[in-house]
Amino acid sequence: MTTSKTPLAGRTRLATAGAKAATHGTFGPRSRTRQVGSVLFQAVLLLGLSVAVVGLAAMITWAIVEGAPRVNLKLFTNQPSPLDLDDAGYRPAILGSIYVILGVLVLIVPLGVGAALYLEEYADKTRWYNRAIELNVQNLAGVPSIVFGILGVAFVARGPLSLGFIAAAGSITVGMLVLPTVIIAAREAIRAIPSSIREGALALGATQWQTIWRQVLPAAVSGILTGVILAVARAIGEAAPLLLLGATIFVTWDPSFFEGAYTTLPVQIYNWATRPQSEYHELAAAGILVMLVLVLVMNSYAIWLRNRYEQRW
Amino acid sequence: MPPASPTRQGFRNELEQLFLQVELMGLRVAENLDRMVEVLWTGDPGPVDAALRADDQIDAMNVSLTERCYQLLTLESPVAGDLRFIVSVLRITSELERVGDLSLRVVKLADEVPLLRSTGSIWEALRIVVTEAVELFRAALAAWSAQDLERATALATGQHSLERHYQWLVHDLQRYDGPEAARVAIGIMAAARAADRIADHAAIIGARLRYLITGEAAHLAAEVR
Amino acid sequence: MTGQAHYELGRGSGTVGGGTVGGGTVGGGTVGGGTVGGGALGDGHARHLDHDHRAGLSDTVFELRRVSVSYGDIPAVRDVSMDIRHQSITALIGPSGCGKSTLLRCLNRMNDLIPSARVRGELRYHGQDIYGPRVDPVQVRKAIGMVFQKPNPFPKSIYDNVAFGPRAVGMRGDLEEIVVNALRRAGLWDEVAGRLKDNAYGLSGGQQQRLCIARAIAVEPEVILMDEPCSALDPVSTARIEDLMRELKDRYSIVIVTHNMQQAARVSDMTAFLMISLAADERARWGELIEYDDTATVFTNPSDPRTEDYISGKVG
Repeated sequence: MTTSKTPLAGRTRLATAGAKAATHGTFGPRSRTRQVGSVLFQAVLLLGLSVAVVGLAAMITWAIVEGAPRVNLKLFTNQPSPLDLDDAGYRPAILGSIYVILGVLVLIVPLGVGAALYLEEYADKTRWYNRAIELNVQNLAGVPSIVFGILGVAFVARGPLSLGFIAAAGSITVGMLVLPTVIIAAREAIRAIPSSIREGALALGATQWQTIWRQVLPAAVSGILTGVILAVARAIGEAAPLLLLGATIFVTWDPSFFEGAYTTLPVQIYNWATRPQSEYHELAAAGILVMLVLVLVMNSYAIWLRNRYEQRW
Repeated sequence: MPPASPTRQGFRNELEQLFLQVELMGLRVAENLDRMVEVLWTGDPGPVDAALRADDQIDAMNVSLTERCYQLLTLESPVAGDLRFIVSVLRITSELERVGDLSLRVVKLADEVPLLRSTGSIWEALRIVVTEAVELFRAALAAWSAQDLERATALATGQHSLERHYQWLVHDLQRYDGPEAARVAIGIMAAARAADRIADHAAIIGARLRYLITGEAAHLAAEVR
Repeated sequence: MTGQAHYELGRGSGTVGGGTVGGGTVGGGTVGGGTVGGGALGDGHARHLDHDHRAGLSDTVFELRRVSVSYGDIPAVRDVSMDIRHQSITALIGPSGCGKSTLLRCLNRMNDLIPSARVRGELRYHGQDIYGPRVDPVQVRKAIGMVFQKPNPFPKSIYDNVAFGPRAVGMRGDLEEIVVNALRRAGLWDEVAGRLKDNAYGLSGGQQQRLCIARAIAVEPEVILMDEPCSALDPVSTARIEDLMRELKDRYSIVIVTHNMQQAARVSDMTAFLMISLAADERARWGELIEYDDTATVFTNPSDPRTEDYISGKVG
């Protein structure tokens, strides 16, 4: 803006600008390029999403188509019988899965929450060993499950614990596998609680433990629960480590927790899916269907729980 | 110490303005006092109109400055020195306005001057009292301009020769029995009283200034005889 | 009042302050003719406090002697010496970063929560050094409560919020009565009487802050520390809380940090002004106590020009 404009020219400019504003408005529609660009971008995102959705849909459809006819009560109550395929069922596998999962739960809830509490509430983050622990927990979450299987064989089934190849050993191994998930989820939940709550409690004369037990943990419960459910959902589907830990092929009796052979649902599905006969494939598909439904229900429950009890700070 | 940043510059400017305005008002009053002296010495009614107009201006200034002070009190929430300053300005402008009124009272005696002058020594005594009063007022203005604590204290607490001269004047006046004694007495007393009051107001201005500078509660009381 | 200094802090037995403060009497000892800032500290430190003209002396609740706080190597506050009186409201004012909140948090050992914080000097509560080796910070915090800048009610019901403290410290007596009394004293009872089970987050900002005050009162502290309690509130809520403070003064000693000088002037009996000092090489900066005196004096005729500059807004 030069200052040499005469007043008259300035006034004229203002007048025309005002007139234009009155008729045209300051804002116009978006330019064509921008429009196309934004639509294209949205299309790409949609494409990515549909690939995932279509894949999942295909899998579920196949499972339903193949397995639905075989889904009946017998599936849940009968032993797997190589002789009478029509009457075969997943009963020992289901029981085995239940035992393993219960064992996992007993293990991961106190250990996971305890570890998360230690890391968030008590650990001095400047100490090297605490930082080392933190780093390792993050890493463990990404270790392949077969590695845990090997570790389980070495230390739990044989080695120091020498429990043998029983469901308990499977629980411990799978528990170790999903423990980092719980720790991380619990840490997030605990960390999400603002320090003002802790300060408020401490300032009233509560001890650190009282603060944790009565304020922090109750407020973090939904996050912790979500983490536990997600961990369990993963644990149910683990086959590889359990294969190593004696979830043997053919179990036709009800397993027990502390002794004897056992099997779990994914292992059983695997066994049947690898048989040549098509009836086995149907059974496997039915099993897959059951598992999918189970996992879907559990995850949905976890999400619902999280949304319902989410605390907006 | 971190460097003083120029915060509240607008407020600082306002206070500065206030200070100058009080000076200006004081000058106007001083001018009217000069007119008063001229009328008294010469009996010439010429300056009377000018004095009346100037007094109107002085009154207007008093009103506007008072309003300005109230505004600053409300809007700026002054504390400590600033608060004492504004409150002092409020009081000093009212003192100045009264001095202006007093000078007018004397100026209106223009017609009586020839008669009063004829009283001889009494007239001389009056001249001394009036001169001293005007000097005291000028001293008060100077103290304000300089914001000088010593001068303010001197004004507030000093015993001035004006006291004595006033007493002598009254004493002599009581004895006077020349022609038109009553008219003379009334005129002289009016002028003398005005001068005495002007001196009082000057002392009060000194006292207010002293409180402004020291902030001590003991200095809150204006000078009292 | 006499004989009140029987506060048992610390794990062991032993009464505290059995007469250290003015021999437990009013008008004797440290406070009468008191030197604030320990007189001998000389230039630039808090001026000599002349109590003679004040009617009625009170006990001293806190004695600070050369209290310094640093976070690791970084100094925050240096050499603060002052006495805080019982049943009065003391305001800490000063520019940002001058360490007022840091100093406040020393009084109830909340600085312990910051691992790098170091507190030196003496900080006596009724004669007992609260940073002594055998003193339990949890007990300190029961006797010295705190209200924070942003209201921080727990995500629980109103009742549970107020009841948390008494439950945690194991107070005896009818819990319901304790809760109701606390809510009454905090001026919140009328507004929440029928809905104690409602979630505390449903209250307005001003109500939440009063809830926090009720919560702090419920454990029956002697002192309430307030860290800018009204800065997140609207003017009406602020005014209500200021009125509340005046009422609470009868039972509690209140120390308030505030940015709002008019609030300090309105509410407090004593005002302490802290200022930032720079090291010679201008690398380090810390807060120092410049002046500590009656509020009226500080705001009408402060003795230190730095105080005057700050309160007139000449220096921020």
